[in-house]
Amino acid sequence: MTTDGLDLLQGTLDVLVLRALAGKPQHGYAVARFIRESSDGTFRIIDGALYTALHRMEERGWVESEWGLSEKGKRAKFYRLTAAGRRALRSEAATWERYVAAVGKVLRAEPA
Amino acid sequence: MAESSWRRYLRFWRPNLEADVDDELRFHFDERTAALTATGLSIDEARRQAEREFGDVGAVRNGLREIDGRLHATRARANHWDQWRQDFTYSARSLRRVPGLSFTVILTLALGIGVNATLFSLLDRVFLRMPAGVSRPAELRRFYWIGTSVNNQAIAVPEFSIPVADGVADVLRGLAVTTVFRNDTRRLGDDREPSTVVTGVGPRYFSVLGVQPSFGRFFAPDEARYDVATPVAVVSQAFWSRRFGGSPADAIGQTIVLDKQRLTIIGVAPRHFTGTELDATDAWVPLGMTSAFATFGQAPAGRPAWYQSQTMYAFLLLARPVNASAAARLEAAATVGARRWFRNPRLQKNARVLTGPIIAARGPEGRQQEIAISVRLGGVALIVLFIACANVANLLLAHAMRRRREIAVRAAVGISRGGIVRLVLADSVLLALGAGIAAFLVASWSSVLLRRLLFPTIHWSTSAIDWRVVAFTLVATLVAGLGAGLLPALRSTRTDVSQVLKSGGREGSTQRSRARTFLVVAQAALSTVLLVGALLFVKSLRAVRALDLGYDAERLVFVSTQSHGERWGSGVTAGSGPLAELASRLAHVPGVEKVALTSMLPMYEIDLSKLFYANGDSLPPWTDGAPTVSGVSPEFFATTGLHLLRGRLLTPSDLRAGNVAVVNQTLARSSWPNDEPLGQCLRLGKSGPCATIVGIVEDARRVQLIERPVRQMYLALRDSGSYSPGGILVRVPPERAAAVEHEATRMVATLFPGVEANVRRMADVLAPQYRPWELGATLFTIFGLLALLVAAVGVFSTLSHEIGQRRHELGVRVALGATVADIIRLVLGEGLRVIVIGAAVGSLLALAAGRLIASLLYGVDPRDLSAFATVVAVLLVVAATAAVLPAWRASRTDPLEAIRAD
Repeated sequence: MTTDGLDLLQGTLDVLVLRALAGKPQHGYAVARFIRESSDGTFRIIDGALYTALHRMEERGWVESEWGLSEKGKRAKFYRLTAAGRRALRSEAATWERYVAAVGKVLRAEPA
Repeated sequence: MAESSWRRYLRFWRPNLEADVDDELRFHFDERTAALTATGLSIDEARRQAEREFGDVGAVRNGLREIDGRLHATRARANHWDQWRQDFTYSARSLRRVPGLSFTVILTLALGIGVNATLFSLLDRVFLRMPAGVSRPAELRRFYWIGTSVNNQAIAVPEFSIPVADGVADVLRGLAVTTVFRNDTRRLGDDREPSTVVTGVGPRYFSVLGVQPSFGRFFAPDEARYDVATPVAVVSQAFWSRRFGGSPADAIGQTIVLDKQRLTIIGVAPRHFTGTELDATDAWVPLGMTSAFATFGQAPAGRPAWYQSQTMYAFLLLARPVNASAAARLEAAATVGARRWFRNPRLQKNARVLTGPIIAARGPEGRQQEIAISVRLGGVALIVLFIACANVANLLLAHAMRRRREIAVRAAVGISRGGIVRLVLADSVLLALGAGIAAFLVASWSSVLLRRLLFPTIHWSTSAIDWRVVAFTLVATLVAGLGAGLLPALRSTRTDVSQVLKSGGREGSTQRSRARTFLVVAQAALSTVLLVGALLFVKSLRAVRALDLGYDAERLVFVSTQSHGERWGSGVTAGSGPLAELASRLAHVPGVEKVALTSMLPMYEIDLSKLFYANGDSLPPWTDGAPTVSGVSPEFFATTGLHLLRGRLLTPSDLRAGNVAVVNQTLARSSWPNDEPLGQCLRLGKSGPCATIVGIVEDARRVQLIERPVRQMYLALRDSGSYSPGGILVRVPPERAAAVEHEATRMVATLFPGVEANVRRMADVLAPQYRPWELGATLFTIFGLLALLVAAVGVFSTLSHEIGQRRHELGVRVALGATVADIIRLVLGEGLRVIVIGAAVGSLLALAAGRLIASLLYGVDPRDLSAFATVVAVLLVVAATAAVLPAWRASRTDPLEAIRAD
């Protein structure tokens, strides 16, 4: 992780976390690792914010948590998407893609 | 399931909540540090980098704890409700599996709660509710005066004469504002309209009550004066919309007819205001306008107008004191004012004025018997509810016992004590709610019925069921549900898990049902109390019915005539007037046995006369006030059934020859305790003619079924004056009475066109006096039987359950050679022993409670031994009947099957 990575845009962290949980339940560290690795270290992630996001999402009912054992047999807190979380992921991802597409269009357009 | 709930409970502990956050973060740092060391950093560098990547650890940790705290609180709340919902769903499902139990419990509780809601509806209205629409009703005072009644009993009388009321108003000036009014049931409109309650009001009525008109205006001082009869009226909104519909604003200026007079409506009362009495007033008119007073207003020459009459006690007096200290001085001041205006010298010296609250039932007036009965019925209703609750507790206890194994299993898997209590309570609360709904249905029907039974003449101002009754039913339901469910619930928590699971749910015989036995004893005891009460009322009714009034009331029909509100046909020659003509025609109607003329219809009209000895001395004082003197035709005694004791009766020749009299036993004995009364003579008035006593007859009643002996004298009918013919007595066999009544009415109409016939059976005249006795007997019997029914169900279900529990033991007994008779004897004996104990306890309670109803009884001792014996016998028979089926079932226990079971 490099210190000169990009700052995350406001509200983007949620969709990344949701995406990280789209598969099987994960603990917080795995979520952080997933985002780091799948973005090739592009984003400068504050891990504290990630945990805050996870707990907020649990309060909002997007994820559920349960204590389990990690791959190495240590006690860890696992998060799983709820149905509401899946719906949130779909709509957030769609919004994000529309946003990216729109920004891309503008950037490619020739000014008159 | 057990595992995850275990975890969930642990996690709810706050220390763990915080530790959880720390654990989660620690895991993160461990992993991240390990990952970074794997890339070649030293442990210290790795840890520093992990912390840099994380941000402010302290702040994040606090933030996470805060979020989790909120989350936990929300979840705990949801969880709590969820638990209850689950318990109720579960309970509903399990109750559906025992429909017999559920039905019995709901029915029992519904009866218990229903009768209480019914009584509440009545007592609330009579005792608790202030009149609606009146401003600051607690300040208002109602006046009473205490003098001496006809039979020498001091009772508070709420009715005043206008001169006395005015005298009181005068002295109270500065202390309070007063007003007078009176309620009458009259017809507004023609004969087809239902009768309505019309309040005749004196000056200041509406301002004393603090009521403002919704439309129009109230009476101006000139209109409310006594000496004029202004044809104006104020109507209630309820009356207007009931009779005419449409907006009450349209009422102003319309006219209504009261006793053939057209009244203009000048105002409409506010919506909820219907006067101050239990009766709902439909229209208010100036006192001078109500029909009775219109008649009195045209007083015959020599008689004072109604508002000057000092003998017409017919008006209720209300006042609103100016402040609290004035209120305290009202009685003393009013007493002074009233004494000035009483005509009777004794009242001038002794009369006292009392005040009471606006709610009449709470005042000093001698309580109406109907109200006294309803208060006691309230107590009885509570007892019925206790019995019902005891019964339900019993049934639920049995039910809980049957569920012991299930509860033990739940306890074994870790459900808490509270959880078990909740589970069992859910049963009873659910059942109680069902019962509450049923009870409400019972009450909405029976409270109307009870009102009609107890107070048939009242036009109630409020409906029997309102939100207060609903609220009462709801509270009673919850209390009963919790009350009946608590004992079973607490007992279930004492379940010894391992023992129950090992023994397969059979009860150990030692702890067998001590609580349940106690509950059955309680039910039997309370039923005994109610049944003894009921029987005492029945006996008292029988004693009242058996009273010898002197007259054969069942066989007598009264016939009198009136025209324009005045007695008609009287005051003319005894032998040849219109009444005599009517009497001789009536004698020929088929079925008529005897006909007599009299100046005064017995127990319907009253006369108080002054009698003197021949030498002008007064008669010795007697408890009845003044003697009653009536003029009668010679057939009077044979017609009424009054028996001659000594001497002779009146003969036709006495009508011409005059001055002889027949007296009753009491008059004879009290006037000549030592001498021979026959041949003596009594004067009417100090210097009046002297009537020689020729015969002595048995005592007869003056007005009341139950009164002290009164002095009576019968003179031969006179041609004019007080002792000339006023009415006709017809003696008929009871089964012909209705036909003769009809014939008499028809005869008056054809003989004397335009004259009104007043024909009544004496039995009907007396019926209102028998009614309270009948009511007491009927209502207490109904409640007593309800209690008996509930208690019988209790015995039956307890024994049935016990037999079920003891199948094993009974099976062993049969196997060891017990015969069918042995088993039946065993079971019956146990059932009856409980009842005997209950009956004994109940008898003691009933003895103690006897004095509470003693004042409502006649001719029966509240400790009447035969009543107690009868009740105990009835209870035993009912209990034995209820026990027979379980006993018979027990006797058929198949030993093999019973022992093999489990």
